[in-house]
Formats: sequence, C-alpha cells, structure tokens
Amino acid sequence: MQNQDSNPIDPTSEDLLLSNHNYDGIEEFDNPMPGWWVWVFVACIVWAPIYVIGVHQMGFINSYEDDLANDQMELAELRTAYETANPVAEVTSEAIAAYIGVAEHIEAGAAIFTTNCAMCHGALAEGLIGPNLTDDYWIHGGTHQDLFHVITEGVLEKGMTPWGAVLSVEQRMQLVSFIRSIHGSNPPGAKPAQGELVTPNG
Amino acid sequence: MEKSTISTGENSSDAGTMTAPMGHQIVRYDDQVVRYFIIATAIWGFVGMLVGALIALQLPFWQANLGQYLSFGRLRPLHTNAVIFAFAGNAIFGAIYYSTQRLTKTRMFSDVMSRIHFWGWQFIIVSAAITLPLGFTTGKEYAELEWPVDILIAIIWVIFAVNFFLTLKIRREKHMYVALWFYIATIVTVAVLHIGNSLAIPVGLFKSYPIFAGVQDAFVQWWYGHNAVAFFLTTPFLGLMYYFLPKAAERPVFSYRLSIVHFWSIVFLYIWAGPHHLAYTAVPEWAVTLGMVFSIMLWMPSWGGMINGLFTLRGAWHKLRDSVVLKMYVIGITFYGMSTFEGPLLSVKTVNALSHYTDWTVGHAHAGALGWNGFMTFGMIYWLLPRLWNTKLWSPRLANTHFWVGTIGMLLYVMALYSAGVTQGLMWRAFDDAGRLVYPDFMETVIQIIPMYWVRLVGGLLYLTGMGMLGVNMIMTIRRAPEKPTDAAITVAL
Repeated sequence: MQNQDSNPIDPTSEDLLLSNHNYDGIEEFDNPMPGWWVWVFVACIVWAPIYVIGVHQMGFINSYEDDLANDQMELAELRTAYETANPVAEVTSEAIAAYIGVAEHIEAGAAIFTTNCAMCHGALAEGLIGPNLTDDYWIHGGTHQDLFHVITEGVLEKGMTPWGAVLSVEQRMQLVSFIRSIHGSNPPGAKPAQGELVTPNG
Repeated sequence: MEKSTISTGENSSDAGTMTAPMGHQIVRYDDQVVRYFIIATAIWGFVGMLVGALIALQLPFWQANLGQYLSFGRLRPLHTNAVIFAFAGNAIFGAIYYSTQRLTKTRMFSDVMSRIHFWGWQFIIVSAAITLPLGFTTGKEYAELEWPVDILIAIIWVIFAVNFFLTLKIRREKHMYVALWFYIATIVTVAVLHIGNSLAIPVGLFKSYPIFAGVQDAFVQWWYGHNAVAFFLTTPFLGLMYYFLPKAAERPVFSYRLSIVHFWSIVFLYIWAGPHHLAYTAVPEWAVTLGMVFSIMLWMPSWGGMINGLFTLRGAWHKLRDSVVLKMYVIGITFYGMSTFEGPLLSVKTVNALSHYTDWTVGHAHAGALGWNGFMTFGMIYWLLPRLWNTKLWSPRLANTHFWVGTIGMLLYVMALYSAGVTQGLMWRAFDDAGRLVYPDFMETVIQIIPMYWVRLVGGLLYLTGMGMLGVNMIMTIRRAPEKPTDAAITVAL
C-alpha cells in the first residue's frame, strides 16, 4: 500500500508517500518544507538578536525612553510653534472680567464643567471630593486670576488636575465665567466651607 | 507491540457482534466518554456564547447589567472561562479520547479515570459558574478561579495525564503520530502553567493571595495567560486538525518533515512570548523585547500548521462543495493563519502602542476563538456525530446554514472590533495643532465606538444562532440513533 516510488492517491502528483506511516488510515507525504517558509523563519531568527542588541546594547533602535523623549520633543516644538503663531495676551483679571456675565461664555463653561469638573466638584459644584465652588470661601485665592491659575496648573497634592494642556485659554476663562455665575446658588447637599472667606469680586 | 491485522469500518453494523479469529483479540474503543464530551461541548458552548452575547449587549446598553451578580465585571470572566475551559476544553478532550485510542490501537488505559476526568471537569465548570457571579475571583485573567477550584483542576488534570500516558505506554502502534505529540505538549505544559500561576496562599475558603508580588505576579500571570492560548487553544487544536482533517479529506498529510519542524519550534518558542502582553507597563523593557522577538520568530512555526492543513487539501478542494466538515476546517485553519500573523504584529512595540487596551485585542482574541477554535470544533462535531451515534447526520442543510451564519457572524464581529479598536487608539493619541489632546475626555472615545459595539452584538448573535443550529442538529441526530450506539472495535493479533 505504501510505496516510495508510486503514488496511489494521485498518479499525476509527484508527492511521495512515506512508507510505514499509516496511523488509523492516515498517511503522510515526504514533501519538503516550502522554501519561502524556511527562509522567512530563518530571517526572523536572524533578525531577533539584531533587534535585541539594537535596542539594549548599541542603541541603533529606539528604546521606550528614546521614543518618549522624541515624542515629547516633537510635542514641545508643536506647542512652541503654536504659541509663537498665536500669541496669547496676558490673562489678567480684566481680561477674564470681560467673560463674566456673558451668557454665551457661561453656557460654554457649564458644558466644560459637566464634562471635566463635575465628577469631583459635584454636578451643581456643591463639592464632592473637591471643594464647594458656589460659596464665599476659597482655598487658593478667590480672584478671577486665582481661579484661572488653579484650573491651569492644578493642585497636584490635593488631586486637582492641571487643565492647561487640555483646555484652551478661552475655555478656561469660560470656566471661570461659569463658576462666577453660580456663586451663591446654594445647591442642596453643599459641602461645608473650606479655605478663606473672600468677599465677592475680591 | 503487535500489528493489527483487520480494521473494521467505524460504522460496520457487525462491529458489535464480531468475533476474533484464532490468535487475535478484539479491542473495543471507549466511545461513550467521547459522546459525553461532545454533548458537553455543545451545551457549554451555547451557554458560554449566550453569556458572551449578554455582556456584548451590556457594553452599549448598560441597563442590561442586571444587578451585581449579572453585571459585566462578574459575567466577563464567566464567559471567558466557559468558552475556553468548558467549550474548547470539552472539545479537545473529546478529540483526544477519540483519536488517541485509534492512533494507539488500544482502549484508554482506565475507563474509571476517563469518567473521573469527565465528571470532575463538569463539576469544575459548575463551580466556576457559581463562584464567579458571586464575586469570588483572584483577578488574574483566565485564572480567576479561587484556590479550592484550582486544586481540583490540578487533580483532575493529573488524572487525565496519567490515563493518557498509560494509554501511550500500552499502545499497539510503535510510532506516535504527530497529533499525539501535540496532545503530549498540551497535557504536560498546561499542568505546569496552571500550577505555576495558581501558587497562592489561602486566607479563607474563597480568598487567596498569589505568592508572587507586583510586577513579578503580572509577569507570571502573562506567562500563563499567553501559554493558555498556546497550549490550551493552539496545540490541542493542531493535534485535532492533524487527525480529523486528513480523515475528513481522505488525503495524506502534506509534509511529515514540516510537522516535525513546526511542532518543535512552536513548543519551544511559544513559552517565551508572554511578556508582549505587558508592553508599556512597569515590566522592564528587556523582558518585553524578549517577548516581542520570540513572538516574531513564532510566526512561521504557527504558519507551518496552517500550511500543513491547507496543503493537505491539495487535490481534495472539490470535496469542499459537499462537505460542511471540510468547509469549516478551511475557515478554521485560515483564521488560525490570520490570527497567528496578527499576534506577532500586535507584539511589535510600536503597533502595541496603538492597539494596547483597545478592542483590537478583543477582536484578535475572537478571530482566534470564533474562527479557529470554534470552527475546528464544529467541523469535528459534524464529522463525529454520525460515526459516534451510528446514524446519518439529521440535516446536512442545517449544518451548511450553520457554516454560513457562523462565518458571517464572526466576520461582522471581528471587523466591528478592529474598527472600534483602531478608532479608539487613534483618538487617544490625537493632538491638535496647539499640542493639546483632541479628545481629552475618555468618554468621548467610548461614545464614538458604541455603534461598533452594536455591530459586534449582531455578529455574536449570528454566531450564537449557528451554535444553536448545531445543538438542534445534534439532538435530532441522537434521537435517530439506535438505543445503544455501538463502540467501534478493531481486531489485533495477540
């Protein structure tokens, strides 16, 4: 039944059956491995040590640190270029004051607040993890500029996120505008006062 | 080792009553345990995929989280455990018990051990189905079960191993066919992986802490996790393929040499690749590099299995028209090739930087699970049903419909998640011209992919429907079977 010299399965095929290979009726051909398969396999094996040495010994392939440094540099360049092209006027309390009480900005600020701030300060800014933003007490100063500064830089030791890299200057000013608009709203479940008493518009 | 002289046809009606000629004996295979495993495969497959469909619904429609016990976090590990260890597990046990006896020309060493294995494994599955929704979990992916169940798994697995190796010891066929090598690799390695990764100190009946801490624990976990894919979902299914594909195609295996080389290269290379699951984490970069290069080297060894599978069909492609079994194998093997190309690709650090933590990973896993494991199992079951129950398949047309519904469902599923994964990955890294994140709010990137989640649900439901069709076909076939189906037997020289 098995014969190295003939092929009972398909007489036109050049495949040779292995003699003595019959397992529950399953036979096996003595075909070579496909050449492309062997060579791609060999290429992968040759490439492996080159890659390892390239990353970890000789440095001609980027490591995590290299990639991170490159990307950060690229990002810094992008930001510098943008700031050069779009110079931002100094954010003074007067500049922010122009946003206060303007319905369009309050509305935009409210949307930003719901998305980014409500999870810590409460949906009505009544205070949750973060302080109540509707009362007269402020931990890091109560001027427009103080608020803008805290939003921009955050307060890392207290868990306040710095939003400067995420929200634009205008968005941050709109946020201040929104916070001013809810002053004295006395929402239910308000968190007890924290920080210093600041007289309105101080 | 004697040589068998007569092989009866698997279905010959006289198999039950045949008498051995002088100097010969009749060896009857234990096909009953195979029937058990095949039925369990279908039942758990349907249950596991049903839970999968529910959690697929919970992602775009949170109201489908029905209380804490049926919430996504509790059901997700139940789904993965059910489809891997219950569906695929019972399928490979059925395949191993069926083919090992025939390849060694002997009955299993111990019927008692075979039955302890079967019932013990079902008990483990039921334990998982109870403890996971109750919230007992180690939190280690694909190894969530707590220590009492882990110990039971180890005991049952060792009983299975002893039974298997003693069967090899008393075999009547001198050479061990390639399928058996893959089974050996499976049984030995899964034992090592399971025990190694489950080493833990119990602090209560349902609570334990791993003996490894922090990043080392993560490292061991993904050594296990990756090789669960390798030695539970790949090697046993390759063994299954090497037996059932040439049987169904009635063609010799394409290349014996290729089978040797790809077997040894797979089992050697796979075990190192685990750290690629931990790219860009606290695991040192050298370890991730190691995982990555071994993953790339693994590409061709994996494809060796695909080549040997597809090339075995040379000269038999015309048979695909009438054989739903072969059609399912072609889809299964093709998706094996696709996901074993995708795996190395995803292990490349720069690709991983985009894909990690996105649904691309989930899509990749399901290309392998639905495409490879699912279709290889379905093909095997449709081939086995008439042979195990001595009757014809109830409806070849329904099987054919299962093939198409399953294929379309799987394609919808994986395409939806590829597109969801790439979309979300690109959104996470998008910067505007001011150098600020374009989508700083994570929720935006979730809302964006919800339509893809719906498509995935539709795909999953189609695949589940196919599984239901298999169940119906199986029930109707078994109902037509003789009261006591005959186990196959061979006559061997004394």
